[in-house]
Amino acid sequence: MYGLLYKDLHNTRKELFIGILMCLIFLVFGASVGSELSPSNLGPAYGVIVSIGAISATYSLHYDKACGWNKFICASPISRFKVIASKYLLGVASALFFTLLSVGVNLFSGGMLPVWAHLVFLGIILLLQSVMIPVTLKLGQNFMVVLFLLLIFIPIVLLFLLYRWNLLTDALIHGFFQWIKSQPVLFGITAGTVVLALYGASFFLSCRFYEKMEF
Amino acid sequence: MKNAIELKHLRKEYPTFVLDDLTFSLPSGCILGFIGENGAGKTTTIKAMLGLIEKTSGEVLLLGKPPHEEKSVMEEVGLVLDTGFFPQEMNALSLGKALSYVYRNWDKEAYSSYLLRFQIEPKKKIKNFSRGMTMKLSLAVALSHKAKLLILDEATSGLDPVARDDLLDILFEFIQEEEHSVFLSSHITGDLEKIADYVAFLHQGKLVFFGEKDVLLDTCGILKCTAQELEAVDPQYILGLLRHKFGVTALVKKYYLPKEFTVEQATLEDIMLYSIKGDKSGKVAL
Repeated sequence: MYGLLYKDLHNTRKELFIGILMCLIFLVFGASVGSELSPSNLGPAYGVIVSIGAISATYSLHYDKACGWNKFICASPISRFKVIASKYLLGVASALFFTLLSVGVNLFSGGMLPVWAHLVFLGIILLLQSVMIPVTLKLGQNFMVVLFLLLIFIPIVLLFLLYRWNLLTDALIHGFFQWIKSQPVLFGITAGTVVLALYGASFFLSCRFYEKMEF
Repeated sequence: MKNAIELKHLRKEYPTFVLDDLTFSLPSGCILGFIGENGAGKTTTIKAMLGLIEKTSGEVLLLGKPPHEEKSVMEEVGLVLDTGFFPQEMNALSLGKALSYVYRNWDKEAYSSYLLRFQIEPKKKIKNFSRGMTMKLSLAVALSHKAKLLILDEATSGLDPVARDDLLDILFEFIQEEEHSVFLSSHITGDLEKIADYVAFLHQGKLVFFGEKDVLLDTCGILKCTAQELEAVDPQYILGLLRHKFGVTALVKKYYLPKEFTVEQATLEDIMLYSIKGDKSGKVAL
């Protein structure tokens, strides 16, 4: 397992570096827009952090397919279960790394975001990974990119339309956030359980896909 | 004698191709040349052997164990496939480090010495390797985890004659150990003629011949004569026939011909060619 992680980290370090660079560019851009730093200025930087944190785990799947590594590793003593486990471990490591990066950005900007916001970022990264890893495995990186755009685009359009049709009002949004603030433990446990359950289900689905794959 | 490879009634069905009822075995300490035209099913056979594809039916044993159920046997199986399969951004050094955690028997010193011997630059990225270098790297990896069985799929095709000769030398050296065996799939029959002990000949998914190479080459010959002269030969000893405007050339079982015929030595390429392209009339199984 360590060998697989070492290989993946070694292989995707260029993407990791580009990801960090993009975060920095958005951070500098956010900091230079407007007279003072605010969470809304830094929104794009956090968006990039979450996106790259979610996508980076799928790069290794793509590379494994492209270079023929799957053939080699599936004909080695390593079980297919372990191969997939290493991808999810890489996903968790990537989620933690980019969440820490969001903490760094927040500290740099004066600590405007509450601590729970970073846990939400972590949850979103893991949720996105739980969809994207099996999709990349089954349908490839190109399809995953389309899906990723849809995952971002559809909720934004939906929220926009609901807002436009007055089904979603400022008061409702404010009330929702107030409710979350008033029930932090309940919300945290529920959200955490949902994320973990989905991540686990995604892992077993990926194992099933990989077990049946022919190379 | 133990068998390094045993295939029993191996079958793999695709909508447009069937690998049909393959049964043969490779005794330990020997080299098996697996020949056949492109698309004959050589790679499919290898994939089924390695568990890269699900076989429809049949049994595969590598070093006496079914690799699908006992993955540990793959510790002792080295692979060199037709295309490279190592991450392109890695170099030989980092690859060695990663593989040392994959194979329990990984021998770091042996790997370094093979890199040196094959003149592989340890810090050069794999994406910048030539095909010959990639093959040598695969071979260095296969030899560094103390494999007892090497499986090579079209490893020599695309290599220049010098690189091919190097590769064959390495295989010959490897086979000096009594318990080492090599399964070498290729459509370059000249290579196999040099080193193979056994030959398995696959055509359109079916095993046409399996046996000792020397017996095969000793049995078969090329007869050049007129169509009229050929009539004197019992059809059951004509294995394949090519007609041209000057007469016919036939692949024959040379010891069964009348003494007045002069027969040339057949090569594996001839046997393959006549079996695939030759007139089937009067043809019996090899």
